[in-house]
Formats: sequence, C-alpha cells, structure tokens
Amino acid sequence: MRKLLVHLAASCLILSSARAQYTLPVTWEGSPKLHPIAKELMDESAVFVLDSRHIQYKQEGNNTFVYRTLHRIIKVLDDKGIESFNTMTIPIGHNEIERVQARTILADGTVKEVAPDKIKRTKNEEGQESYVFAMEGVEKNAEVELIYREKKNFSTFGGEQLQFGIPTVKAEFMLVIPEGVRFETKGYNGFPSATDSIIGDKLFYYATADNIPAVEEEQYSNREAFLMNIDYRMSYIDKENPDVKLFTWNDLAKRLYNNYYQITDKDKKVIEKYLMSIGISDKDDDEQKIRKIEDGMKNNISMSNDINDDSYLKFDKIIEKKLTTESGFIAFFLACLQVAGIDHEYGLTTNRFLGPLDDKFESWNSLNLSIVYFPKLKKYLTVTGIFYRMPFIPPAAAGNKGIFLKKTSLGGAIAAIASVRKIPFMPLEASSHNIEADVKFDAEMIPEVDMKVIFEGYSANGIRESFIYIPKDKEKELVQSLVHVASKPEDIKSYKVENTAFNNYYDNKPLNLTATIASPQLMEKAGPKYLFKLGDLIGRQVEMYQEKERKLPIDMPYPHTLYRTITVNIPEGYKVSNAETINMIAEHKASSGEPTMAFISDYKLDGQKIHITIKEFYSQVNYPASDIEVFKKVINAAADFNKVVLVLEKG
Amino acid sequence: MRKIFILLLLIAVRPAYSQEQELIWAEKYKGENAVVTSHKQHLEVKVENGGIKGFMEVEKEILLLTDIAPGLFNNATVYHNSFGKLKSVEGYSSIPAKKGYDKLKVKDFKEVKSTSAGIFYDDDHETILSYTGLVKGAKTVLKYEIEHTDLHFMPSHYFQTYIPIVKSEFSVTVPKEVKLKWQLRGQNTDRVKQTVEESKNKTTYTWVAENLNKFNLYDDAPNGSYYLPHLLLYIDSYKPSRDESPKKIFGTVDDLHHFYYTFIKDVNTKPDEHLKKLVIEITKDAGSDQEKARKIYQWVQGNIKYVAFEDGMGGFIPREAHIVCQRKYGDCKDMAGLLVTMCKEAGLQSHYTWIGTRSKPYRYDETPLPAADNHMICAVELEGQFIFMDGTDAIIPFGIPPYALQGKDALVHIDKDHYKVITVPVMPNAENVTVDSTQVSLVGRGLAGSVAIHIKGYGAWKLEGMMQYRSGKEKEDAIKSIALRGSNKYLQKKSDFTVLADKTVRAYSRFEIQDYAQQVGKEWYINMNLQRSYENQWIDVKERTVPQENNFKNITRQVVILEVPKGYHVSYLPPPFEKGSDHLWKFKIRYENMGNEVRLMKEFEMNTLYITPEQFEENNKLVDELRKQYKESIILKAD
Repeated sequence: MRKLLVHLAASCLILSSARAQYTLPVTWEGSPKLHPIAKELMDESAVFVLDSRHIQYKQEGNNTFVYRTLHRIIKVLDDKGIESFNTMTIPIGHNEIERVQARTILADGTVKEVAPDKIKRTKNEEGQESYVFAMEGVEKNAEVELIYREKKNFSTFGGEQLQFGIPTVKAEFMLVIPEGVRFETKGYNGFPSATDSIIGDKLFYYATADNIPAVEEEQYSNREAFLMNIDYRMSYIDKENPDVKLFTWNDLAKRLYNNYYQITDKDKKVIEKYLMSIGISDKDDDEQKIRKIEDGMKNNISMSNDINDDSYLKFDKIIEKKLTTESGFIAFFLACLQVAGIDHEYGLTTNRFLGPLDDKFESWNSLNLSIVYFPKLKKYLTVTGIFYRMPFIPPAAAGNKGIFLKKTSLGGAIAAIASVRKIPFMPLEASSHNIEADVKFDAEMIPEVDMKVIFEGYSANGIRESFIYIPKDKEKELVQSLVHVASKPEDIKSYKVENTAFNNYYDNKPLNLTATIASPQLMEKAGPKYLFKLGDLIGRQVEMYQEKERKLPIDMPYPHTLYRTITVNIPEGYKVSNAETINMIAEHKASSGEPTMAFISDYKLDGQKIHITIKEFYSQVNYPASDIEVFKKVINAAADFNKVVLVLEKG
Repeated sequence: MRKIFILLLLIAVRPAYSQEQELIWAEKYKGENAVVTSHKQHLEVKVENGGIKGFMEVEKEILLLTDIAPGLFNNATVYHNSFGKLKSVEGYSSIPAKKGYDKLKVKDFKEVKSTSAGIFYDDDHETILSYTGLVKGAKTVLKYEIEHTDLHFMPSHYFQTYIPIVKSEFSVTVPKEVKLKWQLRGQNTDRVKQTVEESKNKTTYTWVAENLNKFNLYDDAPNGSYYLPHLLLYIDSYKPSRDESPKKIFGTVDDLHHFYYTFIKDVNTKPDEHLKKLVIEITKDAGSDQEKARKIYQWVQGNIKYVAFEDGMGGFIPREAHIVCQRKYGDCKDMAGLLVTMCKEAGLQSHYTWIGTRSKPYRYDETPLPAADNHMICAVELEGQFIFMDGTDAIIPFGIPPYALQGKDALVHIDKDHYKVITVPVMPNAENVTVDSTQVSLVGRGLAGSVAIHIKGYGAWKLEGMMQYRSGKEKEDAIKSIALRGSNKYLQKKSDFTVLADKTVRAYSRFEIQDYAQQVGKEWYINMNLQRSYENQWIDVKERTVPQENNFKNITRQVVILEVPKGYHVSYLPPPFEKGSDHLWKFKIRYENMGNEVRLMKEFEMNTLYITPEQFEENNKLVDELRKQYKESIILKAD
C-alpha cells in the first residue's frame, strides 16, 4: 500500500447520475474553410489558429473516466512550418487514445484526411508509446487540423498548458462535470480562471484567451514557469457534504502519513537490521545518522521507474535487490529516519523552474520533489536526488514553497497536518567556482600556469558526477575543459583532483582541481612587444552583448560566487605598460544599498609580481525583466575581462 | 565500538570477486568500468523447402569492475527485425556469493521500436533487458536466439566493442550444399584467427579475436566500418534440393543487381494520369532533355519533403510515384522512384540507382553485397552522360550529387539483366570556394566595419539548406554565427543573406567589436587575424588510429582591410608565411602596407577528404605553425 497518489480513488463512485449516453461534442467542420491570418503574424513559421482542450468526467459502470480531447488547427506559413507539422507524434503515456483524426486543408481548399491505417503505433527508445503519422500534401498557407481523444483514469487534479513557442489566435479550455460535484479552476500567467454554468445535468467550466503571443527561450530565465496554463481540481461533493472542501493540504498530509509512517513491526525489524548494517549506532548524533542513511542508500540502492513488480516495494527485497521504484525508495528512506528516531518533516514541492508551488490552490498534481526538513538541524535534504547530499537539495526546490508534514498528537493518537514552509536558498558563500592561478614565463616568454580550480556547493554539481562517471582515459579531456588554458591535452603537465565523492557536500569540502599547464596560446606578439592574454585565464565567460528586448524575468538557479586570485610573474627586464586595464567594476545594489551582484577586478604591483583579484558574485536569484540592463552589465563585465591583454615591453 | 567499525570496513573492502580468473581480469583491466569476458555467436545455416535460413545463438558475458559499473551496465539490448526474428532471449546477473555466484534471472523485458538513421531499412526493434542486484564484481549474462528468415541479409560481426573484450568469437556451420564466403574488413584484421572444421555433411568456420581494446569514437571520424575489424558473410550459392543445381546468391555485382531488381520490377509500371499532366505542366517550357530533367528535379526538391515514414515491410521497395506525389513526402527510394517515373514520362532515359553514402566504406567491385549501400537516387542519361539526382537534397543544383556521395559507386539499373557501376566524382576544391572580405576601422578601442562572405559550391548549398528552415530573426542569428570574428563582443548591426542566380550565396554583416585593440602610449597593437580558421584542426595523435573525415575539399580566401587612422603610420607588419602540401592542406599569409590601409590576405586549401593517421604529425605541425602566425599583431604608431 505504498503506491502514493496514483490510485487516489481509483473507482471513484462519487460522480454518478449519468443518464442518457452523452456523445463527446468535439468534431471538426464538415467542409472546412481556411482561416485568415492577421498581418502581424505573417512572418511566423506557423500559427495555432485554434487550440482547444475539452475535458470531460464521465461515469461508466462503476468507474469514472476522464476524456481529454485536443483540437488544434495549425496554419503553416513557411518551409520551417511545413517541416514542423508535416509529421505528428501523439504520446500515448499511460492512457488509451481512442480517436485520432488529422487532415490537411490545402491552400486551395482541398481536404486530405490521413487514412486510419496510416496512423501507426510505435515505441521510442525510452519505451514510450506514441501514434505517429505523416500529414499529406502540406504546403505553405495550408492548415493542419488535428483531433485526438484520450481516455484517462479518474483523477482529482489536472492542468493544461496553452502557450507555446508559436502564437495562438484562440485558446479554449472546457471542463464538463456531472452535476453534484464541484471543481475549482485557476488560470496562470494571464490565462483566466474558468467561469461555470449548468446546462442540463452537467456543469461546464469554460475559459478562453485570444491572441496569445509566442514565448521564446531567454538566457537566465524560467520560460516554462511563465507560460499560460490552467489548473483544475475537484473540490466539493454536494450530495455528501457541500461545505467540506476535499483534497486539502491537510488531506494530503494525512494520506502521506498513512502511506509512509504506518509501518508494520516486521518492516521495523527489517529496517533496524539495515540500520545496523550501515553502521548506525546509538552513539551517533542525528546528523551522523542522517548522513549514514542518505549516503548509504544513495550509493547502493538504485531506482527505476520501469519496475511493474510490486514486490520491489517490500523492504527486505529492496535490501536484497538493491533496486526499487522511486516511491519504494522514499518509503524506505522515511522508514529509516523514523526507526532511527530522527526528528524530521517530510515534504513535497514542485520544480520551480517549471512552475512554483501555489499554496493557495491545492493541486497535488506537480508535487514531485521529495524533501525532508530536520527542524533541530535546520537543514533540508532531497530524498531521490542521488547526486545531492544534505544540506544541498535540487535548485528547483530551493526558493519554492513546500507542503510539509507536521506530526501532532490528538488525544493520544498521532496524526499529521500540513504546514506550508518556504524552502530557503542556500547562502551565497555555499556555492563557488573559484580560481587561484600563478603565471610564470620561460626564456621564450611561453606562459606556464599553476592553477587551482575550486568548486563548492552547487557549483560542484555536474563536476562531481563527471569525475565519478568518466572513464579514466577521458579524464584528461575533462580536466582540459575545466582548466580552460590548455589548448591540447599534452599541455597539461600534471594535475590532481581532490574530493570528488558526493559525501563531500556534507561539510561542503570543495572539489579541488590543481594543474600545471603550458599555455603558449596566452602569449602573442606585436613586433618586439609581448601581449599576454590575461583575460583568458578565467575561461570563456557567458555574455549578453547582443540582446533582444527582454520579456521574461531574470532567474539564476542559485546564489554563487566566482572569486579569482591571479599572480603574474613578470620576467626581469620587462614591465607591464597597461596594467590599469585590469580595473573593472560593475554592480547592482538593493534598495538597502547592499550589493546583490557584482564583478570587481583590481590589481596590486609588488616588484615583478602583479596580484590580481576578481570578486564576482550573485547573491540574489530573481530580478524583474526591467533590471535587465544592470544585470547585463555585471554578466558582461566578466566577459569583458576576457578581453584584457597585458602589454609587456622591455624597460 | 571502534572495533566494530573496523570490522565493517574490512567487510566492505573484501574483494568482490570470488574466482581467480575474475581477479586476474580485474587487475588487467584496471581503470575500465567493465570488460566483455566472452562474446560468442554461432550461426547454423539450413536449407529448408528450397529456401535458406539461419539460426543464430548468441551469448555474451560482461564483468563489472567498478562501483559505478552496475549503473552503467544494468541494461542489455538485443536488436531484431523482420529479417532477423527474435526467437528467445534470457539474461541473468551473476552476483558474487560466499561460494561462487548467485544467479538472478532477468524478469524485466521491454520491446521498443528503434529509430535508426538508416534509410532503406526501418523495421528495427530492440528488446531491452534490465539486470538486477548488480554490484562491483558481478557479471551480466545475455543469451538469445535469432532466426534469419532471409540469408540475403547475413549478420555481420564486429569484433571490438565500446568496452574491452577478452574473447570475441563468431562461427558459422553450413551444410555441404551451401557455399559460404566472407570478407574481413577494417583495421587489424590479422588479430582475427580463422579455423575450419569439416564433418561429413557440414563445415564449421570459426573466427576468434582475443584481448581487443575498446574502440574510441571520434566526432570527426568516418563511420566505424572504415576501421573497426569486422566480418561480412555471404552465401555464394546453395542447392535448394538434392537434385537441383546450385543457385547463385551473391559474389558478383550481377548477383546483387539481380537481387535488387526484384524490388523495383513491380512498381511504377502503370501510367498515372495526374502525374502525366503534372510532368507536362512542369516541362512545358523546357527546350532540351537536360532542361526537362532539371525542371523535374527542381519540382521534386521544392515540393516533396523528406519523411522516412516506414510501414514495416517493404523497406527496399519504392512506393508508387503518384502516391508520393500526392502525399508530398517520401524517403530516398520513394523520391528516386518519383524522379525515375517523372523523367520517363517526359521521355528521358532514367534509372533507379543504388548507392552507399560515405558512411559505407565498401565498393561494389570488392563487396557486391547489400551491406555496400544504404541509399537510392535517380540517374538520368543525357547525351551519353549519367547525371545523378538525389531527391533527398532540397537545395543542391541539378547535375551535382550531394557531398556525402562523392567518390562512391553508383549501381545504375538499366534493365532486368543490365546495369552500370559508375563512380561519382569527388569535387575539386576549386569548386568549393569561400571568399571572406572584412573592412574595418578603429573606433575607440574597438573595430567597426563590415564583412561580405561569398560562398560557392557545397558550402553554399549547405548554408542555403540551413537558412531554408529559419525565420527572419533566426536568420540574423545564423548570419552572425558565421560572420562572428574578433571576439564574442561582435555586435551585429545589420545583416543580409542572398542566394544569387548562379546558386552561390552571399552573407553580409555590419558590426562593431568593442575592446579589441590595445593602446599603449603612442602605439596601437592590433591583431588582424579576426578569424582563426584551422586553429582547432589539431588532432590528438596519441592513441588515434582513425582518419579524420572532411565533408568536401575547399578553398577559403580571407581578406582583412584595416584603415590606418589619421596621424598614424604602420610601424610593424609581420612577415609573410606559407606552408602545407597538396595532398593535405596548406595556408598562405601575407600583410601589405598600402599607406592609408593595411591588408591581411590569407588563403587555405583543404586538399583531401580524409586525413589519415600517417598525416597527423604533418597536420599538427601545420597547426602549430599557423597558431604562431595568428599570434602576430601589427603596430600602428602616431606620426
């Protein structure tokens, strides 16, 4: 009984009263006409003339099913549009697709429908099934029309996205429910919430929006989180109790509690044995216990979503096979915490890059990140993020709200209630990508660089995985890409990597990469003068020099610093004649006067040595789109530093 | 308490290998995640009801050597299709136990359709097995059987894999009435040892290679079939029954053509009214046969989109031309069939033509087998010359085959018993020329100016093809990406892209590059190498035994003209330099002081399609010399 949320109320009988057979109303025009397109859209490759979603809850026998129909008309305006829409793929997922119809309306009005036998069922490399077919006769100014209907199992929550990378002339959302049940809807990012009306024995929820612009990807943004969409949820069953709201956060807490914390004595024994086997003793404090459980499980037990065998959810089998599903992993993890007597709150949140949690609209739909909070330690942990260790959780969860379980005792019985908690970002200093470099020149003026690259916290994400998983013979190439001053692997004279293991996150021990590199490409010449490309030492920086008008708010995944200290040893007999070009400053200050991001470079002369310090940091994660200019200044300052060239001349 | 902890540690580091041999391998392959300890394939060829079938048994064992190996090797994939049907498959994990190994049978099998880039053949499936319980020191064992229903398509065998292999064995047993032949291709085929064992009715051929390294993959290398040692098998002939005389299968180009003929003999045999009308319409203004062919080709290029939508079987048979024409899409053979039919309708001599793209190393005269090709085009005979038309290339001018076909053999079908093998020419580099002219002047510490890039040949058509699927804004970005020079502070102010009447293309970009030049005192230091072509042409020679592949031979000329600011003169120009060879590549660099402007002229010639490992040293020396040249700045000094 650990299959959470999946079969909530699988055979939900609450939606009754379907009298006569009701045919689903979505059909296409018998003799379709082409749609004129507004002038300002004529430069697009394609336009959604209509994008309609029709969701109907329907009682059939003892079960309620959800019929979801998508009806889309796409005007194709150029070769790119043709290439994009002359083939179609409809993912099947876990649902049944009952009907697929597709046709092309040619520019001269001729209609070509795709024959049913040309619609093929196929599976992709990940094993996901879909219907694929090619549209016939697609040409410029033709329209492609598609209708398909899915039959899904009952679910209390749902949502539809209605904004894409191409513009939509008209988007519609319709939800049809048998009488006696009430839903709530909420539109996001400008899409309206639905209005309801009763027609016959049904409740209709309808929302529509016209002229929805295309939204393109932008640097440092969370595009997905800003697309128009609408969520819906079942909220009341009138005939049972019209005043009691269903599926609240407290209901969720109760359900999670029952799923994860009501473990049998037998399971408890299995867990106790496991805890012993991973070296947990009574002498350990909470933090030590958590580390042993987390690191032990994440290193040794694998998760797979392809397992259909429920026996892989049994604790003894998980230990034996070292394999389970995601929900099996969570259950096992929480059982370990519980049996080990560690005070904690289990919580769920959404991926904020796709859509932050709206605690005012209780939709359980996208709560797919499992987080644990330890009140005594004031630390968070991700259960299923196997590349993270406490206190680092995926950046997608930080800065988001979460629904956490708080245990309370009510008259002796233990129950759980929900509490909404804002999950904080990690502090600025926790994540850094720093460089310490010392540059010497030989008699031929060829630079040799001693470099230490330091990755801490989130900045080590991806780097640790790479060092752990890369084959030994490819490691030097990885080093080359991280020290970025070797133009070929041979130029790396020696290197050393420290603290690659994931458990270094516990004390935030930095991953250190030290290397000695010959970098002839850093030295150029102008006649008798030498030009040392100092700016290349910090690696190619992201630039936003050529930016179009900013539409989306700015978002950095996490606060972080990039500090660099560089010493350049100028050979005897030479001097640097343009050291002042090192000095750069760009910063943004909050209204309090506190800088929230900056790039500041500075130098000091010490005999034949130049000591350069660069402080670059980003302490704030979100900025409105209107802050783009100052944001660009800081980002571009780093890229400008890449252009710093020191002129060395005799004298 | 401390003692217990140490004890636990000891348990943890106890070698996970329970057998001697595994320990030896673990030591030998230190640093590798896994090793294939054995890969055995046996094919039993049978003559049944006059046909010839094969039954293959495969067994593969992989030993996991590191802690991360279980995550990397927990799946195995078996490929199969309608010519090679999967009859059985099983797998198990061997987990080290106190005594020997514990077996854990695979229960999780998934069958998926694999999407391959292959054009002729799109009926491939894969069955994926998931192993459980894997740890360092465990082994995965995969066994399966495949029935080959049509031995025209014999399995090939590659001895090397992406992990090292201890022993790779392939054996075939044929009855006496079957004559088997084979080819060993790729590099290091001397590592493959062959034995033959004969019994009364049967002969068994066995090929074994031992202790092979894993292969390295390179983005710029030709297809693995060019260098990986592999075995191509084919049936030369067999006796369908005791009394019949031997039936020839493969061995000559005749045989291959004979086989291929069966795929085209029944298609496009009936005239189609709609198609007829269309051809009349398209060719109505054409004055010559050549003009007719050109118009037809251009119509297909402009109207039929490449969609390789396969209906399982019939992977070799072109669809009816009139259907392709209506649907406005098709794959290579559909387009070839449409071209052949339309040209015939226009009264031209047109021919179905099989060809292997450059991803196939084989020539028909050496390897007259289905493995030799993967593509179909149309050949039309005009004044005794064969002109090739590839329907899948939407841009290329009439008369020119795509660069992926250069140097390849085309098998041109004439009639039931006749064909021609014609080698597609390699375009000389003078046909693929890029002239890139930049004009700049100093503005503050930056440069401002414009660039005009004029491209002829394959480079032009590649770019035009890319631009075809870009909208206005995306076009600007694409132009910027080819015009970009100086630094990433290249700001594009204006841009333009034109396809000229002679199918050459011209890209124009006006720009500013801030913070480019260095000024100290009275001097400006300016590196005029705004572009550093071939700078990254360096090839890692240490382990690489695999050639580098170029799309086409070409010439690039770059001119940078810098205006000398008023009150300044040129005080230093780097000397001219040239180096290179006609069989590899070469470059020339020359500066000129014109008084009011400085000119930098560079020329690069790529003279080969493949840079071979023997040429790597020479190539890298060239790159080193070139990099040195790129370091040179000019000096402008105040008067």
